[in-house]
Amino acid sequence: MSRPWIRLSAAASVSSLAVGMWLSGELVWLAAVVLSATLLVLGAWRGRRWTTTAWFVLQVTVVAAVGQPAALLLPALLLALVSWDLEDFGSRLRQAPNVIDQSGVVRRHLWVLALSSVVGATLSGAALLGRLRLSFAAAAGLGLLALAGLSRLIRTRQTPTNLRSGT
Amino acid sequence: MSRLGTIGGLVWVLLIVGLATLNGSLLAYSLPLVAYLATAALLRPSHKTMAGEARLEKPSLAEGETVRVHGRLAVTGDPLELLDFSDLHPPALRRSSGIEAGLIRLTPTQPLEFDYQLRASRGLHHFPGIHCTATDPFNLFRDEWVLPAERTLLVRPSYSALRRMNISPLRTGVIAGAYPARSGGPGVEFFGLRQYSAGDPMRWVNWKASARSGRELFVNLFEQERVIDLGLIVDARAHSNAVFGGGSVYPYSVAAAASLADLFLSQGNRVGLLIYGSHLDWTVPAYGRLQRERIMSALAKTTEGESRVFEQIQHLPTRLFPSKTQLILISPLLPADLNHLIRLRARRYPLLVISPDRDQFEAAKLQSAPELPLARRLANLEQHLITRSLANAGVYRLLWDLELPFEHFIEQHLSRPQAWIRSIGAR
Repeated sequence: MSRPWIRLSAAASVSSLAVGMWLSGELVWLAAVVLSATLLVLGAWRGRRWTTTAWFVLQVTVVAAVGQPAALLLPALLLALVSWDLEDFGSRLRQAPNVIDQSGVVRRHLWVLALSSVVGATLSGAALLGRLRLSFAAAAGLGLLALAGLSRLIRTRQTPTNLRSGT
Repeated sequence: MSRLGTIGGLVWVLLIVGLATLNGSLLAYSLPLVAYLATAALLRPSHKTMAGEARLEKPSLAEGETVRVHGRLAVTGDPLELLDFSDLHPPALRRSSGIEAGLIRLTPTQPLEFDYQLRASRGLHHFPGIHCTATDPFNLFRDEWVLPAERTLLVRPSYSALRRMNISPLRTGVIAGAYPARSGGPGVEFFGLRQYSAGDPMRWVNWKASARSGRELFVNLFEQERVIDLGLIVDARAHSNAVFGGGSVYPYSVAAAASLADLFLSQGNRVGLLIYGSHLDWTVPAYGRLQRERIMSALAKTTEGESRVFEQIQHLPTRLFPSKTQLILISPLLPADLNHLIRLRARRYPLLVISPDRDQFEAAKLQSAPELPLARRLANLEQHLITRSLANAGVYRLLWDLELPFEHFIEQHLSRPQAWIRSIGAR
């Protein structure tokens, strides 16, 4: 995975978020965005991989905290997610001693990432535009159901995978 | 924090805070992350659908040769989106070409065939299997396992073939062989004269001796040549082989033992091997090609070691060898071994000691220093003293300069009969 694409998506994410903060007049959050971007640049320069994750968490936090304008914040969130993912994928490709059918692997990854992003963007956009009147109990019930499902999924997958014999 | 923890934590926080504050936009912003997480969960890997194998081209080979490893990985169910595989092999074996590890998307329609070559170094090497790490496309869910593909590779020591080695053992076998039996009869080497008896072939008559006598006929006697019993003893004690600054002369001892075993067995002699180190590794004396394989296997597996019991050579179990068996000890020797070897000789074991010159090997590795020549002289004196003391007891010791190939060393010192060689075991 070429680094320019990762940098481009990160820059686009930061820019759209910064413009969103500027338009909302949220100068404190704008400073946070600039700070996180600086952290990302410094991390990339010094080869610290954790800074990408820190930057991504900060981007999501800013988006969640400010919330408006959604037309800029949602793309910022999606681009941050794409950038975070591509950075990890690129580093895996670089670290592998051999990548067999590299173009096929990259194509497949981009396709899956694009699909996931489009689905996420569509659902999120629909949720931001449409308003559904739900009682608190129904909303809480649905939310709890989602949380329970998610927790179960994560718990199942996070059990320590010792070296097991294959079949 | 893991990637799954990061994304899961963010989703969790957004959902909790969104529900707590009744803020719908927070829930909305969590949806791209949920979609990302859900996609990864849907495409999560499972090792249960995967099968594979790896095999070696041949189970044993000689040191320095290359061995080809061929492997195959296949998946029967859902594809494995990203599979990191690595065929685990002992670090002593170095890859010379091919692919042993990599990253791939493995699908049921396209199994992976990989192939690589390893350069062999002496030893018994164990290959545990193929290490696999499979992840979803986003590296959130991970499954790691070792696919069993156990193999064992025996790498015999490389050695140089010897043409001839002259020794004159005390005891020989009954079968015709290559070593003088100290008795007259049919043979090649001149042994003596005796009076002519009726039935002696005329070509045996020594006309010059008969003419000098004037009245009687004399015939030549030749020395019979028979097979011998040989006991090879390899000193595998770590402290006697170790070299200052790291390294060891033990690989040279192993190669020398392999050369000697090959020579004596090819001449039809009965050869046994005793490796004396952390434990005793005994190969019972026998003849032939099968015995050669046994000895080479023992030499392939051997490593240096330490043991309180076998710290000194006094516990050499001589009962394993019949009395008067020709023994060849390959050892750098320590001054403390001297008396034990003399005692061994006193029990009527003809003994030849081949000592890899550890001091010279060590000196070649050291930086030049003003003290080095003096230290070298002292070491030489000590070695000379050991050699002389052993020679006085009838044990002959040859110091092998390791810069010289073993076959050249044997060619120089033991290829033709010398007076002192003929006297080995004579006392």
